[in-house]
Amino acid sequence: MNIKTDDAVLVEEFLKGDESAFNLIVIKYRQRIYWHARRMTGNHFDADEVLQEVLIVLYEKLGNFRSKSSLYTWIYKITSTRAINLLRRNKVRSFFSIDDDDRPDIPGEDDILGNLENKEKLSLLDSVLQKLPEKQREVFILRHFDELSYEEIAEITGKSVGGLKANYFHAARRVAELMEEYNEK
Amino acid sequence: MKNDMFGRYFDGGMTEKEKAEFEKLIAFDESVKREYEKFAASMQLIRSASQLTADEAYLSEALVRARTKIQAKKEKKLNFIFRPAYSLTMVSVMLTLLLVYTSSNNRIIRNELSNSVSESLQVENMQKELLLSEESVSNENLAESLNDNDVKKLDTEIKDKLGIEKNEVVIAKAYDIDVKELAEEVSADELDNILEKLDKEFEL
Repeated sequence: MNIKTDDAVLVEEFLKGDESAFNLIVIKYRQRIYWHARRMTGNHFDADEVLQEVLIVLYEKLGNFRSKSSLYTWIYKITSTRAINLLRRNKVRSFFSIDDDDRPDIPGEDDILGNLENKEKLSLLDSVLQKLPEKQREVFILRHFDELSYEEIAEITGKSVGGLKANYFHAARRVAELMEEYNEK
Repeated sequence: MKNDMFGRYFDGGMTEKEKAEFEKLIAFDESVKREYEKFAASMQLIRSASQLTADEAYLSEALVRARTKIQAKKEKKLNFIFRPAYSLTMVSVMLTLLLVYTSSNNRIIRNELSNSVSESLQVENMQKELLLSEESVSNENLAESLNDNDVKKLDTEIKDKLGIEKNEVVIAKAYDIDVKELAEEVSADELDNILEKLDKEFEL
C-alpha cells in the first residue's frame, strides 16, 4: 500500500480536491496538536476546543500554506495562537464571572488517558506548566516537549532566538523549583 | 545564574569551551554537581510526565466533529453566496420575461393596428371600387333604367336649359354614345354649338 507521508504532496493533493489527503494530514499531526493545546491550556475541554479550531483553520487555510516553511511549524503556529487566544478569552470570562456551562458533548479526560498513572502524570504537568507565564510556557513546551529547534520556535512565535533562549532558561529554572516543591510534598 | 548554566548545559546550548568548563566545575564541586543532578531529574520527570498519548478513538471522533463543523460552515457560506445570487437571477429572469412580454405585446398591438389600418384601407378601397362599379353600372344601365317619360322629361330639361332640340346628342353624350356618328345627322355648326354649351353646363 502506498502511504503518502510527504506533507507537500498531501497538501498539493488536498488542494486538488482530494479530501482524504486532509484526513491523512490530521492523522499525522493530531496527537501533537492535542498535546500542545493540552499543555498550553492545562485542561482537556479547552484542549479539545483548540483542536477543533485548529482542524477547521487547517482545512480552510491550507491553500495559504507556503511550502518554503514546514507544515508542522505552521500547524504549531496555528495551535499556539489559538491556545493563547482561548486562554485570554477564559481570563476575560473569569474576570466578568461568565460561566461557560455550554460544554460540548465530548469524551472526558478519563476516556482519553486510560490509566491512573497517566492521570497523575498529567495532573503534575498541568499544575507545573500553568504556573509559568504564557510566553515562557509556550517556549518551554515547544523546546522541552516537542523538541523543536530555536530557529523553528522563532518561526512559530516570531521572536528572536536570543530572546527565546532567555525565556526557556527562565522557564526551566522555574519548573525545577516547582518540581522540587512537588517532590517535597 | 547557576540555573541558567544548568539549563544551557541540559539543553545543549553551550559552546564546546563553556561545556568543558561546566563539566570541570561539577567534577570538582560536589554541591554544584548535586544541584545540577536535581535540576536534570526534575527536567526528566516533567518530560516523562508529558510522554502521553491520547486515545486514537477520541482523536478520530474529534476529526469527525471538525468535519461536521467544516461542512456546516461550507453550507452556510454557499447559502450566503447563492441566496443573493439566486434572488438576482430570479429578478433578472423576471425582468427579461417582462421585457419580452412587453415587446411582444407591443409587436402584437402594432400588428393589430397595422392590420386594422390595412383592413380599413381595404374596406375603403373596396367601397371605392364598389362605388365606382356602382357608378359604372349606373352609367351603363342608365339607358335601360330610363323609361319613355324620363327621356321626355330629360329632353324638355335640356331644351329649357340649353335651348337645343336635338336631345339625342345629350343623351348620346350622357350614355357615352359616339358623338361622331351623331354628327352626321346634325350640321357642323350646330354640333359645335351644342358641344360648347354642354361643356359649359356639365363640364364634360
